[in-house]
Amino acid sequence: MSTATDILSAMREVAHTRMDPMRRDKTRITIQVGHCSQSIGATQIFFSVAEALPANSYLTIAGCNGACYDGPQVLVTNPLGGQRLYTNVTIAGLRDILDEAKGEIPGNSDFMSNQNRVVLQGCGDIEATEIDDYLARGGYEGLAKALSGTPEDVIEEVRQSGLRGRGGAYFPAALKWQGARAINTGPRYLVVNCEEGEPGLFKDRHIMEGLPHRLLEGMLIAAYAAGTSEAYIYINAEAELSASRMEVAVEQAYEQGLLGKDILGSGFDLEVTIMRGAGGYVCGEETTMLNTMEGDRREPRLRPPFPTEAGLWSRPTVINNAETLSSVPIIMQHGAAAFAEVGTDDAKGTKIMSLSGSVRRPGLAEVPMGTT
Amino acid sequence: MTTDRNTLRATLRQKFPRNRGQLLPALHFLHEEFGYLPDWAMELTGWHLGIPISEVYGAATSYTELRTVKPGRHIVRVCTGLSCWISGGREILEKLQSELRISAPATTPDDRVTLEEAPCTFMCGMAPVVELDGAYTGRASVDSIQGMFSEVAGI
Repeated sequence: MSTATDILSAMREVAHTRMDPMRRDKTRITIQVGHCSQSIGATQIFFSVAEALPANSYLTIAGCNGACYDGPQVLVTNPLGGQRLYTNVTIAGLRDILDEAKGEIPGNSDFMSNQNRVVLQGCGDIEATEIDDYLARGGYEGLAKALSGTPEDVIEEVRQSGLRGRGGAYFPAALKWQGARAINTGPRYLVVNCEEGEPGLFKDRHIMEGLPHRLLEGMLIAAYAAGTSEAYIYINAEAELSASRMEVAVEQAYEQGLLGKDILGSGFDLEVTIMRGAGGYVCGEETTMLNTMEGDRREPRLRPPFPTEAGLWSRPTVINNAETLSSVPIIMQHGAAAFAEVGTDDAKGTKIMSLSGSVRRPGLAEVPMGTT
Repeated sequence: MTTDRNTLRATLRQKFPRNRGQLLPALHFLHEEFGYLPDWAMELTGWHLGIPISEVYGAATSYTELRTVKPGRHIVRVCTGLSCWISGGREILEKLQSELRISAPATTPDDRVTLEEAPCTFMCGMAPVVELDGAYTGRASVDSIQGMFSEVAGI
């Protein structure tokens, strides 16, 4: 067993000792609070539940589970692990949920069962504002595994998984890291592209709100593989809640020693800064993003040179999409083969689809690549 | 609230290291502080960061989310992203425009309300979305927003 895995398991023990005394044998009431569900009253529901919390239960905040059409939603987990999801919750209807007497059986569950949730696994259940819950559920295991091997091992594993960039260009992720790594002059940078500028898309925002630590974990693994020690998370101007969830997550990761110097005793360092965009579809285009980070006008650059050769401040820069990076912990944790099981021949894994407009059930669905 | 040049100069010095990469974070700070980007504040920011004022202005005006004109006391933004537009955002915008007698983006002559279109608020699952002073309302309709706006906009 390597030191990184040892340190992580010790960390998980501590997370349990922090959480368990307050929570053991109690019912967990999870309010799914996202940017969207806030607009239909999720915050008010949270405060109402907090005021009238039933005995023997505790309250947590998670991101939404992607069933926008059914929001706001409340997930109740009994001490034995049985779960019940309450949909279209109103303040008036809260009494029934808290009494757990007349609650309705969640409808439309085929929306969930027809999906293949890998990247979004646990979204809507895992606490979005505390690192302990993520750690207790096997979080950062992918990072520990990555740090136990060499960066080349990580690149090889991700190359075998066939992971391609989920921002839309579908460039193989491992090649990007290798490209930046091949240039032997530091410093190199990693930019996490969460500037989701395309009208109609809201998946990156959703990941940041529901699973901020999975994104951080993926970012850490990518930084290790690409040989960077400085990362930027570039978040959309509209995504206020995402930015605050990421800020909290970054702070917690620093406290735990998962960011900063000598991460998990491996000698690998990473410093993270959160940047905010200021509107407009074009900000998500990678060279435009770099321009805005350097204080220039919001305009694309000519390519070549590509960012992996000359990006931020003309240094080698890896730019990965939030969804791409959130897939990386799963690849490292369960192996390339498990990830590549679904998808098509040249596009492996799953993809998160944003459904909205003239559809009956708007929301987010994660399905294997190639699904039509 | 930073209203005079000396306070702003001191705040900039304290908050932002002198390098070009700090321009966008500094513009965000000004925008939050004033609700828009006053010329004099952009000028001070340029001096502090060592960026020509023309370039500060050039960068600032290239962002759709940053205002260079002072807004009214209340800001109403109607999402006109594709999903919102086809789910009723258009009717909401038209209704507000006709009630306020302005054409977005604009401020009413009494400085009470600024009406803007938001290109996409990325809450497409909640379409249509309307924002009033930073608070969003999803699944909005011409009828449901009536009460919300009658107080602030007097409509």
